[in-house]
Amino acid sequence: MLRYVIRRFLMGIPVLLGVSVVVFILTQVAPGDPIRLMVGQAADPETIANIREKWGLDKDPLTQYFIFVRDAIKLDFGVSFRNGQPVLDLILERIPATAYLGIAAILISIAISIPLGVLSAVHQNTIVDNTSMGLAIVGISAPVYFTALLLQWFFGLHLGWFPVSGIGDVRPWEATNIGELVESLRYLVLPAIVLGYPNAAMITRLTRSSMLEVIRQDYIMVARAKGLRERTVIYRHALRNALIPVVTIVGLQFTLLVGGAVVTETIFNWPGMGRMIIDALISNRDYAMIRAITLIIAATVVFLNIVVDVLYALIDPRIQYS
Amino acid sequence: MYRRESLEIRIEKARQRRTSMFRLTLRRMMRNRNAVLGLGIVTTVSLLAIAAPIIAPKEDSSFQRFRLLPSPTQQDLSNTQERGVIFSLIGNTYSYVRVLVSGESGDVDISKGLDSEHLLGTDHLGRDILSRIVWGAQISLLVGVVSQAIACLIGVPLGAISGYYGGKIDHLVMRLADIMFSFPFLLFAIVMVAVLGDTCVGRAWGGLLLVFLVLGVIGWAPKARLVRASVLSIKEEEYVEAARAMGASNTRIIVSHILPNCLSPIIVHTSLAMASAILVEAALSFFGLGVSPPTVTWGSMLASARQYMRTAPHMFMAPGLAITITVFGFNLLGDGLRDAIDPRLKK
Repeated sequence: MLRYVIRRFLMGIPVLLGVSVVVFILTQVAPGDPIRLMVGQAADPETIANIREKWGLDKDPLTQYFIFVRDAIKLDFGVSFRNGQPVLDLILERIPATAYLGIAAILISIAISIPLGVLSAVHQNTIVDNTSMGLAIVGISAPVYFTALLLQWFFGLHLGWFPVSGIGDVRPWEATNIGELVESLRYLVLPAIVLGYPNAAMITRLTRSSMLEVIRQDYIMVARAKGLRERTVIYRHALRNALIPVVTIVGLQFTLLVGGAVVTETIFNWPGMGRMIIDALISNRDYAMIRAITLIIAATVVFLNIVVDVLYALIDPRIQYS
Repeated sequence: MYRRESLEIRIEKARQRRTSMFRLTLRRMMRNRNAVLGLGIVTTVSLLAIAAPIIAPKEDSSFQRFRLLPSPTQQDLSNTQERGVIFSLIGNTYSYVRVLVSGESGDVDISKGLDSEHLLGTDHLGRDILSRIVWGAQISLLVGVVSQAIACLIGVPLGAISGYYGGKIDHLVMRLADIMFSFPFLLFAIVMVAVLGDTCVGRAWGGLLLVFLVLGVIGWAPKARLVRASVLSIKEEEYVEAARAMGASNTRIIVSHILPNCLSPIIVHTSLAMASAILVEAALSFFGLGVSPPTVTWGSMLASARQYMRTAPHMFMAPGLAITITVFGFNLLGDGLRDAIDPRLKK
């Protein structure tokens, strides 16, 4: 097992190197001189040459790439082309808000989708099943930016129940009394639902099909024949086994979540990493920032894939890794 | 003579078998209500897109309507009462503006403002939304089809070569696919289009070419993996061995013996991937990336509707529902195809 884990990690290294090449090439071929963008057209050539030298932009691309990788290993992603602050600090500042939103979205989606998937499977081809499957396929089809606008309009503007923009003045973990906590959670409701809905839809579908497979196994029949209550059969015997593939999918949905977070944070004006990417790309053309964020996200994906594989082996003893 | 005939008969029989397999799949699919609904939606949207110049001619003359009445200022809009806002969902901006300017915001008889000319109302510039939806369908479908064609052109041969030859080339292709899988699809598309948007490729065809290329280039990896997996199992089949024994070249074996047998997972995947390509294109347009105006896209319609959300919710409803319904259609079709091609998978 340990050898498998180590081998999986070693296999991740060439992938990460490939990722760094892609990210580096992308920002290299991008038109426009980032230095000119930063200091303005009127700056004198000497200043520009100085900055180029300072950031190593005067060297040939290959050397630049090696410097980029060498620094990235030390978690040094350089400074923002826009304001000269270290990129890593800027990113670390934004991570809590994104993690807060992302975790809330995952919790909401799991809380809704697993019971719904079980219900669908147990009552296969009934109105319950058809309704939840309908909701699920709509969830996969409806774009995040549309559900976001829809909820903003209906629950935010029309009914006025929830704020439609920002994260609030107080974060829930900073709240001193129950009133503040409720107030800060109100900001979370809409973006978390928007971000969680597509994930919930996928988990519901998967839980359902996985449950259907398990329910037909012999040991379920045995459990029923023993005279166990239906609830015990479903939740203790069937669901536990049906959840194995579901766990892996929840882990792999990180990529979906990141894409969704970019859109959700932009629409809800949420001060997280997703909005920072859009700002860096569209308003600021801050390529140092883009490099760092894409690299960090890709590395997280590679890491999560390994974790999911290992987890899979741990929760399903039938799987043997050599 | 006898042998020759028997061969012909055999070929004929084989041909019949092939048709009947196709017919079988089709029949199975037609029995699936969801799949038929999906096929119906996809066909309708495609027909609308093709017929856009005939059925959506209002697009060009739209600005005349704009001149009839000044569009409301932000102050006008913020003075309106909620009631008017709900009404404007059923009515349209044009009638709504008229209501606003005449200063009535209480009990408004909205049938007075209904305009049979604009079934889905008009946008903030007085342009007919239905016409724009129909034009937008062209871009969405085009992006879905072309980007998937590119993805297949790259992914299918790479996957086939990777699975058939194995070894170093397999390793290389699969590591490349791993790299592609490390980037979240939507984020990767946004970054690539934003970064390359200002190059000559980015400006070609009003940004459309770049969107095709980016979505195609990003989309090859899952197809390569699918094809590789099928090829790995098919290449052990006896008929492949037979073909090899008869002296067929590797290329011939791949192209005419193996690939036709791994078409079904590719078809299913392509149908589902078109759905996500349409979603991603709309997301790009929503951020003002990719296809640039004056070309109408559903994503850009949504984006411009955002600031009028309070007063004219129909402006974002129409393109949002258009995207949802189209993607829904492709998803249903893909699911239905999968169940029809391989009924064992149906739960």
